[in-house]
Amino acid sequence: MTASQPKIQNDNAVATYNAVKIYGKIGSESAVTALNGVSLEVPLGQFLAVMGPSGSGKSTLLHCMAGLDDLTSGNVIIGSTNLNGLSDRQLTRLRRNSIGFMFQSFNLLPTLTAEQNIRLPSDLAGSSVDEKWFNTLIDLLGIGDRLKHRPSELSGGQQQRVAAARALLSKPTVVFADEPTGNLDSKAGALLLGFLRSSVHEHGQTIVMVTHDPNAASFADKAVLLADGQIIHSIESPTQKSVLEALETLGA
Amino acid sequence: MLTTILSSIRAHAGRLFASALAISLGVAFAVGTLIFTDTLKVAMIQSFAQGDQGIDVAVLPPQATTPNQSGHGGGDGESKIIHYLAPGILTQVQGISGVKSASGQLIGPAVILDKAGHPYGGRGNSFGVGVPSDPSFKWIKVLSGTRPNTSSQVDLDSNTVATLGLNIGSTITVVGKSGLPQKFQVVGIISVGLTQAFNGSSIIGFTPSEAASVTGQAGFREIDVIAAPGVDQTILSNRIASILGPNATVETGATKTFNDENAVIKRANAIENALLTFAVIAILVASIVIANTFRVLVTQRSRELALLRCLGATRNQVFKAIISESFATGVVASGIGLALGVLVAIGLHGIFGAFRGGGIPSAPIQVTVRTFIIGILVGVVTTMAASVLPARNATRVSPLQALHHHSDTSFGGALTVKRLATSVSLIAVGVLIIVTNLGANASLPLIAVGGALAFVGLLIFAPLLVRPVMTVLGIPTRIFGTTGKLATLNTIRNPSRTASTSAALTIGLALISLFSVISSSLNASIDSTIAKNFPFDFVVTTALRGTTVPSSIATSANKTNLFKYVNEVRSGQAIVNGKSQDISGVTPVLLSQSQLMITSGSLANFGASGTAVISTSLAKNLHVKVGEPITISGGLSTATALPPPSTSTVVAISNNLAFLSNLVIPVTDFAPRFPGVGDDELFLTAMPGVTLVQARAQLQKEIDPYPLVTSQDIGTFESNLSNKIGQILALFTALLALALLISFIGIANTLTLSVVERTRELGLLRALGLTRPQVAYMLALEGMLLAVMGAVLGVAIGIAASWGIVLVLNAQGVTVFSVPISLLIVDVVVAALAGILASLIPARRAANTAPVVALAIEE
Repeated sequence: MTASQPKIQNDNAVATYNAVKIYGKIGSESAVTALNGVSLEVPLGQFLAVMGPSGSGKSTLLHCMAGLDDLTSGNVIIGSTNLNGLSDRQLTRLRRNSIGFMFQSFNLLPTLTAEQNIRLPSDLAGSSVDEKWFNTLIDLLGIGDRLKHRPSELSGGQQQRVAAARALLSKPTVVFADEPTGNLDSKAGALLLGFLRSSVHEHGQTIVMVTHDPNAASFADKAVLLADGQIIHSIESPTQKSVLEALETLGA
Repeated sequence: MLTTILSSIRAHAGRLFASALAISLGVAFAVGTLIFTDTLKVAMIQSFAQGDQGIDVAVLPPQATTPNQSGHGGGDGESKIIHYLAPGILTQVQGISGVKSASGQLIGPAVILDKAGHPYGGRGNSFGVGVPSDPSFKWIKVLSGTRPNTSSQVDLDSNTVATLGLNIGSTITVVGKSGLPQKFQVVGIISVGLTQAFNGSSIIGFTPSEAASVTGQAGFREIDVIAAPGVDQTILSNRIASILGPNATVETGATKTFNDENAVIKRANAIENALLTFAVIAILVASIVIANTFRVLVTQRSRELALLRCLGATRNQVFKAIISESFATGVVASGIGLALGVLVAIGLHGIFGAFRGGGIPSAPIQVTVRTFIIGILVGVVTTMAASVLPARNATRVSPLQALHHHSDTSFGGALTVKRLATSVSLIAVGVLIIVTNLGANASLPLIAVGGALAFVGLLIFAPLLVRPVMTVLGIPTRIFGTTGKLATLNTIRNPSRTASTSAALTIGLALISLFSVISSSLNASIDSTIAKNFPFDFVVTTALRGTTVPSSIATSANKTNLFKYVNEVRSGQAIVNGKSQDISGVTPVLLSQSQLMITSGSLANFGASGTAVISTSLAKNLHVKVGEPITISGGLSTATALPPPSTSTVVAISNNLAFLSNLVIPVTDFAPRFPGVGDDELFLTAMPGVTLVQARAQLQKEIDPYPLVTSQDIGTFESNLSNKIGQILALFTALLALALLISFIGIANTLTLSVVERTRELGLLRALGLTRPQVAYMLALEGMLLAVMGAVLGVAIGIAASWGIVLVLNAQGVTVFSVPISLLIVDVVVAALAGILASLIPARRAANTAPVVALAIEE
């Protein structure tokens, strides 16, 4: 680490400082600025919702925070690790140990059973599973009787709950969820969001969730609104109403 | 991790099936070759073992002195001189103390005439032997009936008896050295342990004295000795050797068996190597197919691989997963290949049997541990090696791809500077190697290396050819309207996939067209050689190897005054300046009529006793020039002794002696050294004023008493030679068939994979109004375009390569470069039809795509 990098905040699960992401050749006409100086600290044990219209840069922010894409300038720090300049091997290790993922389209491996899918990250890492935590997760998610089934035999809600168990099993520093309720009906969505919220409040998990659904955001501790690559609003303890109002000002 | 891989294989087993089949077939060819040659070895060794059974000492003719034989690969004078042991030696051996009994193996030309009066078995497939009266000499075993007792009785081998529908008691007509038919009665059925066993020859067993008289063969190939009780093999062998001196080679029975087995193995290994070359081609084609499959699978699974990367899989783990999958595929495919190999072995037995024009000896199928291990290794290593590059590509999948909602179709095969540079430099180096090796000092192996390099370079370049080639090939498909246009565009959308799919076929067709062009050039060259060099009306030859056209025919033809020229060609083997050498004796005027390329000296001086014409290669070999002497010794041993050495002077050196030997002497010099040897060929020209009909009728009358002698018009003679070349071409094509089959499996495979990949798109096309038959047509056209592209490229490469080879072979007499255009067009058309056939299964699948999937499948 060089001296020019900011002091690391150890009580943050993940933080970005002045994050800039430009696609295309800088200065050329085709260059697109997706992130234009985003600074954001997510303390440990926070459920953060990232909101914004299409093209606001919310997905890019998630990719960059998770180390799947690199910044043009600025810093991303996960736990105590600055992502700048990490090799593919180091990033892979970071993903294994510190990051959990949830996707809009669930992304379970169709050939594996639910339980195999849940255990896959630990299998890949060759690490042992905390069996007590595994059982707790299964109970909380209510998927105990679905473990031997393959994804095609599960409903969308069940699939996403399996994906949630997969993301949380290793107790990662932070879970990134990309529109996790986007493909779920409202009932299944509420069930999942309730679980995510309780995992934050009762088990100290940190979650960063990208969503465009104000209702989903209302489950979070905090919501930030992105537009044109910048954070323009930050709402503590968001409700559906407060989020909608903030979105309306955006439209105005 | 293991569960992930295994479940992945299960899920993709269907997609891997076709490429596994490709590997299976490749392995099957290799395994079949090994099984076939192992079985052949066992069969041949058994046949020898019969000959050597119970023999304590074997007396063989003296080894020919051929100091140059090793180290001089396949050039002039390679053919071995077959010496015979004079009958006197048998009497001498029988008198040696410690010898219980001794018997000579007498083998010479003799053939049965079938009911129509034609010689059975044709050239070189029939022998007459002397059946020893003492059954302790087991090289001939009587299976049923008795040994011939009188000169009118014969035994026959079981194959001949069965094929000709004969039985003990039947009367048969046999022709031997004299060329005149004789009647015999069959009294027994025999099996024979012989060197010629491989040919599946027809064997006629006479009493020893009758055998000598029918075959005209006085000497023995081998004398077998059984020791008196208590006499040691080695001691007896040494004693016989010291008594016979340089007149014979003496071996103990054990040594003889050992040497025979080695000779068999050497011979079988040569066949094995030739066949393995074709197996390697099949495996190479299969590896292209499997590499292609893995590449497509990796592309199709990029999302899944990206997800694994997201969840913490390292690049190394992704690489290992793909390689493990290919390992498992390889193991399964090789296992199937081993089983199929047995069928291939049986097929090869059939093909060779048919090509040899007689059965080849069979033994129980031999599947050795070696075959098993090689089969598995070849399959597994090939599959794994072919998947290394796709697996490396898989590690480059970015984890980010898991979050994208649409898997983007990869448009690979872009022209990079690196790719172009590699391709161009490979082609350049390859062509350079070929060009620098053309000409007099041509080295075929180096040219093959150059060709291989250029070929690889071309394959790298091939994706670039896809767009222009397909655009042109696509023009005729326009009659199918939109369907045709879509098909053409589909083949262009992924040029590197198209290129590598066609490449598998390109290899096979390049080789087939190479062989076709070369054999066509050979034919054209023979035609022009004969027309130019032998401007005669008739050719007289004999149907049985080892016999010749009786010299009396030439003599009486001359007397008729109907022929302007009666030119004789005889051949034999002698020793020239200490080296074994084929030698031709000709009527001197034959050479001056033929337009032989004389490089020094003059044919005008040829004809007197002691003159000789030699080839440039022999001149180089012997270091002699025009005007210098050469010493000729050896020749045909008579009952008494070899003719004494003589000296001839080289009067001319020729670049191209056509089908004469490298040393040509006047027939008057030839006759004393090879007493009793008749003519290989007679070339006759009718007298001016005599019609061909008249001359032909007279000639027919002259040869009528000799059933083995045939007269042909020169045109028929040419086409018979062409037929032989055609047979070799057919054999090559049969051996390449498996490689071709594999490449069509590759086409079917690529189409199937692309149908899976394009399910959404096909659904959309259906939703937009494309009918099921139209979808099927589209796939059929794609299959056809892939096949035609591969075929056209292959034919082009084949023509180019054969042009180079014909240039090289110019010195060997291939002077005409002839492209069999209609044959090559047929090849391409057949490939096009096979391409359509390959599309049937994927087309069915594509046509069954429901329009609704366009909307249903999101990922």
